[in-house]
This record gives sequence, structure tokens and C-alpha cells, in this order.
Amino acid sequence: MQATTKKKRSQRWWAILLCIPMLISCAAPIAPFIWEVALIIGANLTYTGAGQFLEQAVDEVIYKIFHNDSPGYIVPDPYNRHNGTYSTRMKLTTKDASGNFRFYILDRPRMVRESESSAWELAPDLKSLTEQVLKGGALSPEGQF
Amino acid sequence: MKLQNIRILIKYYVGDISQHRDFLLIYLSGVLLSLFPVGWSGTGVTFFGFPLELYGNTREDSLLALLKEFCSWAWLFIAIFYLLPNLLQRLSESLSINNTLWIRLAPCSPYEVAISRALWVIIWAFVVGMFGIVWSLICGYFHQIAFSELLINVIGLVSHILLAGGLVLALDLGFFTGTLERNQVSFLALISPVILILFYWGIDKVLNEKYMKFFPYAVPFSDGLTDISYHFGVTALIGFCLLCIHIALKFRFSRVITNFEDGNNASNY
Repeated sequence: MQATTKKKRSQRWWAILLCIPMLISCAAPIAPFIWEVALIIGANLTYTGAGQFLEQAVDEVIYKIFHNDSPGYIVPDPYNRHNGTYSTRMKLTTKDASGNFRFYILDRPRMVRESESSAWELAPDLKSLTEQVLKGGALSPEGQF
Repeated sequence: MKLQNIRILIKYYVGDISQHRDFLLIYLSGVLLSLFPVGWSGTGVTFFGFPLELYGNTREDSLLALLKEFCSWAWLFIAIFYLLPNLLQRLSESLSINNTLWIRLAPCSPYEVAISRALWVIIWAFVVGMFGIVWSLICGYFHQIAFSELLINVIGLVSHILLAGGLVLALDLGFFTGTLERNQVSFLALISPVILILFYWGIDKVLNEKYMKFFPYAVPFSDGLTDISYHFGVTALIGFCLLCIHIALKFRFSRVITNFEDGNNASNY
């Protein structure tokens, strides 16, 4: 008797798997509530230090594997061929008056061009900001990046 | 009451340090993770060189936020992978009929067993608290921040252990005797200090009394909650009282004679 009940209990683990689609396909008050709670938990996880670290670490790994030596290319917008996005990171370097290297990284910046045949340039707001930064004008309050 | 019996039982329950080698390794790696990769870039706190956006504008505030968060992750890890299987499930297992019958064969009276169970929980809380204090001292010295701020999560974990262990022992009322029921009790005891905050939020919205800061709960990720040390302290106090109640309830069996011979000859069995 004892053995049979034990066997029944050990076979019931798949009921948990069955519960997941059953809960997700529930009627109005329950399924949206589950989605809402899951979204709130996920959104808060991205604010934690561990979540931010994981995001950036995964980005870094993908960059190291796929884009490390690639010069990058520009993907034009499908509806406006004069705007586009650079495919990877853009690192801009300069040497200031005291001889220190100053660099600035733009992650997938927006690009514009005058016509189909002219060269691509940074978007005007990014361009002015980059020039300021490379001159040392737009430093953050503590004076570092 | 014989201290020798209690000592032997505790040695059986707690085990020695060689059984917890993996825990020591994980603790050491956790300490190293919270020391060297954590830094300050001038505008924000960094972890392995990646900038993180955390609460707090000053260096101390954001470092404290990150280290408290690490302590909360460690709390979750300890609670799920060590507290539940190594303390709570074994504690509730020791209250099952099988184990009680087995322990009756030994020359231990029921209240000696009860005292050793309560001491088992207290030793766990003490050791985990000591590890936490050492971690916060090292972090405070290494990063030059106030280590007393880091202690709040350690107090929370200690109160969590005390309340969970106390609940398992206090629910030994003779209703839950099977293995499945005992496992359910231990799981309920594990989550109850966290679940209590939902009751607190519900009652606090309705009553809004000044005594509500003595409502017991213990939760990780406690940034932004007020009067947190009162809540954690009351939780620990209630857990301690539950342990004492378990011992006091077993004293009604103190007239049962367990030594059939003189105590000195017990080694013959």
C-alpha cells in the first residue's frame, strides 16, 4: 500500500509543466495579471546591479565574437535612404594639449547623408556633442568618463 | 538534563567543517567578488569595469547599494540551496515518527532532544551571522565605507533563519507526521518571513498605526523600506521565542524515565 502511493506521487511531476500553459491561457483576470507581475519582476531585475552587469557582459561577448575586427557598415533605414545606423561601436580618439589620449565610444550611432552618392556623416546632434567632448568642453561634473 | 547527550546530538545534527567545504569555497569567492571587481569610476560604481547605474549620488551610497544587493543575492542563494535542504528539511525530518522512535532508543530525554534542536538552529544563525559580519568588515575596510550599513541584510538573514527554524519546531503539534507534510511545513517556514511583508503592506494601508514598525518580516532587497531594523529584530525575537516554546512544550515529558541503569553504565549499550 505504502509503495503504490509513493509510486503515484513520483509520477506526478509533469503536472507542474501542464500548469504553465493552463495558467497562461486562463481567462481575463488571471492571465493578464500573471503577465503583468512577470513584466514588473523583469523590469525591476534590469535595474539591479546584477541585471545591468549581465546585459553589458552579454553585449561585450557578442561584440568580441562578431564585431571585434569588423570595420562596421551602415544600415540605411528602409523608408528614408538618407538616414541609417552604424552596425557596431565607433571609437573616436584624439590627443589633447597635455599629450593624453582622449577617446569616446558611440554605440551604434545614427548616421545621415546628403544624397545617395555623398558620404555618410554622424547625425548633427551627435556630431556637435562629439566635437565638444573631444575638445574637452562637455565633460561630466566630476571631470571624467 | 545531561550536557553530554546534547553535545552528542548537536555533533550529529550540525556535523563538522569538512562537510561544508563547498559552502566555504562559495563564501570565499563571494567575498573576492565583492572586493576587487567592485570599483568607482568617478561618476558611478563599476563591476568588472562595466558602469552600473545605481541609486545614490555619492561614492559611498552607490557602493553600499551594490554591496547590499550582493548580500541579498547571497541571502536568496543560502535560503534556497542551504537553509531549506540542510536545516529546515532535516529539522522537520527529525520530528517525524521514524526519527522520534529511533531517538527514543538512545538515552536522551525529549527535552534534551528539543534543546539540541533549538541549539542547532541557533548555531546555524550564529555561524551565518559571523560569516556575514566578517564579510561586511572586510568590505568596509577594503572600500572605506561604513560597514554598519552592510550589517542590516546580515541581521535579516539571521532573523530569517531563526523564524523559519522556530516555525518548523513550533508547528510540531502532531498533525503533520508524514514525509510530504513535513516537507510542506519546511517550505512554508522558508517562505513565511518573506510572505509576511504582504500582510504588513495590507494592514499598514488600513491601520497606519505607529506600532506597525514592530510587525515581523524579513525580506532581501530591502532598499527603500523604512524601520527595517525594527522589523528584522522583532522577527528574530519571535523566532527565538518559538524555539523556547518548543523546549517548554517538551518539558511535560520530563518525568519519563529514560535511563534504565545508572548514567555511568550507559556506555554498555
